[in-house]
This record gives sequence, C-alpha cells and structure tokens, in this order.
Amino acid sequence: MITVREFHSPKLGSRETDYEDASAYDLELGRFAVADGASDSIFSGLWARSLCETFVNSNLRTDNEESFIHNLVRISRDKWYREIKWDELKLFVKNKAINGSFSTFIGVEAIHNDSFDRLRITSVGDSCFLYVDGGQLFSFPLTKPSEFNISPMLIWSGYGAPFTSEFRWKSPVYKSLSTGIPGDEFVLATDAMSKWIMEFYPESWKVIHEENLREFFEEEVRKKQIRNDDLTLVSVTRQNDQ
Amino acid sequence: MVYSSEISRNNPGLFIFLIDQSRSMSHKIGGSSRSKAVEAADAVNRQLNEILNRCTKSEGVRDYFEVGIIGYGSGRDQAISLIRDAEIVPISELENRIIKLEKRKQAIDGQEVDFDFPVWFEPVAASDTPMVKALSTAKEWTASWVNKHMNSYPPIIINLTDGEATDGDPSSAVNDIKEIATYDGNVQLWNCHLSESKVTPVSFPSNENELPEDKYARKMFDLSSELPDSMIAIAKEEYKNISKGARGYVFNAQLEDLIKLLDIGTRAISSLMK
Repeated sequence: MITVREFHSPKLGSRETDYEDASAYDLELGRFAVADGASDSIFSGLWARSLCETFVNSNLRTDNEESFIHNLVRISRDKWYREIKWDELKLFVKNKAINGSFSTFIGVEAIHNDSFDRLRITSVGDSCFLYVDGGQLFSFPLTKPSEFNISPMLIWSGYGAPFTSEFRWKSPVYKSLSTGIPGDEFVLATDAMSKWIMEFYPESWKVIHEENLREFFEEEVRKKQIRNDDLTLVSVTRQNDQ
Repeated sequence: MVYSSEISRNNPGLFIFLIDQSRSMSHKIGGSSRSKAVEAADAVNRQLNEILNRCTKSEGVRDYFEVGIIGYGSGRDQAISLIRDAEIVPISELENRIIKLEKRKQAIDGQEVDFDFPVWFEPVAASDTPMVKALSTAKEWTASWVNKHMNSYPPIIINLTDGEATDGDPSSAVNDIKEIATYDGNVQLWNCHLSESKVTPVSFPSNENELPEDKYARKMFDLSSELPDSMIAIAKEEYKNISKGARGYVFNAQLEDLIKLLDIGTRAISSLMK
C-alpha cells in the first residue's frame, strides 16, 4: 500500500492565500507532482497548480518526453487561461498578467502503481526528487546545495489576454530520469525544502517525518537555517501489507 | 549599516523623487527630441509603474514600498508634492491618484499590444530652481517616515535637476538628509544632472578626478551618497567600470542615463522584496 504525506507552508509573514507552490497526487495512477510558482510573475500559484493537476489527472503518456511536456503545457495553459477572469482584472494586474506565469515542475510516475521498481521522473527547474539508499541521500535533478540559485529553469504559461488562449509552444529545458529506487520511500520538495534536506541530512530526513513541521520550519527560518520561502514536501511511502 | 533589510509589507521601503520644474527644463535633453521636463516626467511615471509592477500580485498591489514626489520650480520658490492630495503614500494608493491613462503600445512577441499607461503628474517647466526648499521638504518627510520605520531598508531619494539651486547652498539640507538612518543604514541621496548637450556623461564616479572641470559637478558629487555594495553589483551590469566608493551621481545625463539611474535604484532595492 502506498501512503502519501503532504506538508506545505507559505513563507513566514505571508498568508495562506499568498502561497504559490502546488502539489497533487493520484494513487491509482501512481502519479505525484510538485511545482513552485515564480514570485516574479503573477497567477503563478494557479499555473503551478494547473501543471500538477494536469499531470496527475490527465493520464498523459510520459514515455515520449518531448510529446509529454508539450501536452502537459498545452492542457495546463488551457486550464490556467480559463480560470483567470481577464475582463475583471484591475489595471496593474492586467498590465502584468499579459506576460504570463512561470513555475518549476517535477512529476513522478510509478510505472507499476504499487511498487517503486520503475519510476519515470520529469523535471523543469529546481524542485527535487529525493530518496535514501544505504544511508546516503540521492536527489534529482540537483544533487548538492550549491547548485541552487535564484534563476532556475521554469515552465512558461504563454501570454495572457489580450492574447488569445491559443497555445504557442516554447519548449522548456527539462530533465528526465527513469529509475527504480531500493527503499520504501521517496520525497518531492520545492527548492528551499530540498536544499535544507540536503544541507542537514541525515537529521533532516528524520525531521520531515515528525509532527508540527510548520512550527519547526518557522523557527528554522528565524534562525536562518532555511530560506524564507514557500515550503512544500510530498513524502510517498510504500508499506508492506503483511 | 548593511543595506540588507528585507522589504516586506511590515517593513516597506521608501522612494522620494525630487523633480526640477524650473524654466530651463523646457530645453531638449541630450539624446531626445523632447524637453527635459517631458522626459523627466515620463521617466519617473514609468519608474513608478515599474515599482508598482514589481509589487503587483494576483490579488492586487502589495504595499512593499511607499512613495513621495516633490516638484520644485513650478512657481517662484515653490516645492510641492506632485501626488494629488497627498505627500508620502503606500504604493497601492497610487492606483487612486492617477490623473490620466494614456493608450500606449508595446511590442510583445512581434505583435503590437495596446496597454493603459497611468500618469501621476504632468511635465512642468516654469520658474526658478528652489532646490534647497525641495531638499528641506524631503528631509522633513524622510525624518518623519524613518521614525516609524526604523527596521526598514533606508529611504532612497533621487533628485533630477538641470541646474544650480537658486535659493542658496543645498549642502546643509543634504547633509541633514544623509545623517538620517534606519537600523539598516543611512538615507541614500542620488543626484542626476540632466544635460542639453551630447557631451559624454559621467556616471557613478568614485573619485573627483573623474569629473569635468565644473564647479557644479564637484558640488553635486560631494552631495551624493556612496552606493552600498549591493547597489554597485546591480549598477555594474550597466557600467562595467564602476568601483567601490562610487557615488549615486550622473553628470550631464542624457535620456538613456536618466532611465538607467532610476532603474538601478528600483532593481537594487526590489531584489530584497519578500
């Protein structure tokens, strides 16, 4: 049996409505996704959510990477465009929204729904897939804390109104990995959380399984142990039924 | 004194623009067919738009900044707020102070797209240059604001002028301003001398030797703040030779230099928005 534990928290000092990361999963399809909407653009949280929900709900084939990314963005753009009430936007929101939204994305598909022996991972940007093997932490696409920077690769939604909802394809720079993992657990996390897990491993791996994570990370932010950012973590565990 | 305070809704930043509206501002600025008054007004209106753009989120404008604009020289010995019915306002309040919307075009993806460009004040070129009065007003506004925002990033005051003050020596008012400080650093005062000629401008000099033989240039250099390291890093993208000790000063600024100066101020401080 697969169980999923989700944690998210808006950056310290912000409201829940300011949170611009997203996560989604579907156990039957064996799909899990996390995305980090870029704060420089607007409607980024909506864009991040569109990408995650499209990935887990649309049953898109992932075996052809180029075609998969193309379809993921096409369907997500349509969803994103339809949800914004373009005619009702205030002046400054309208002037900014034309530039579209940006987000990182990482999606994991378990080829055999109830096992981790074959996982297909597609990633744009610095949200990470992490697991532990033999006491050692592995992560993808970034492998060490120094690789995080302020300009990660992003998926663009395309322009907003007055441009039409018609989809114009601009391929994002993506990385993919097809792998099996030896353990019973993997984690998806947005950048600040991923970096913190890497920096403080192995203690961090224990902490993410504890209760009251929000209070813990608020304190970590105050102590400057983790960047003050939206935090998102999805932990996926396979439990032996016997 | 590190100029690193996070800019947030609890700890907003402050910009004050001082705009010379004296008669000579009706002359053309170097690099443009329009007058200094028109270009300065357009550049500051655009910069206000840029600050607003950075503060705009899906739900609307967040008050990461407060803003004041002082025009001086529209009437004899006159220095007044150019924001309608207000002095310093939270940035979101500018939505209610727009005096007109201009239909403008921008090129996006090879397509011309109309957009509404908000204008908060019109160009004026009328009388003398009461810069001391304008600086004294800025000092009062800044001191009062800092008292309530000691944890904030220090205010940035940008003075756009084309000539010498006609109401005395500005040194004393400037020094008073530069002594005002939050816990994060002293107020930054930048000066931009707008040029009519096509003489090569001097931007962000760190040494008096970089200046031309001009009494006014040396005076304004002395009156301008040294840039903090974080701002030098941003300014380096446009000015490769800028070095430690650089002052927030452009002598003989043409249109392009004016826009760059305003943009550097906005970008440097916006990078700390949380």
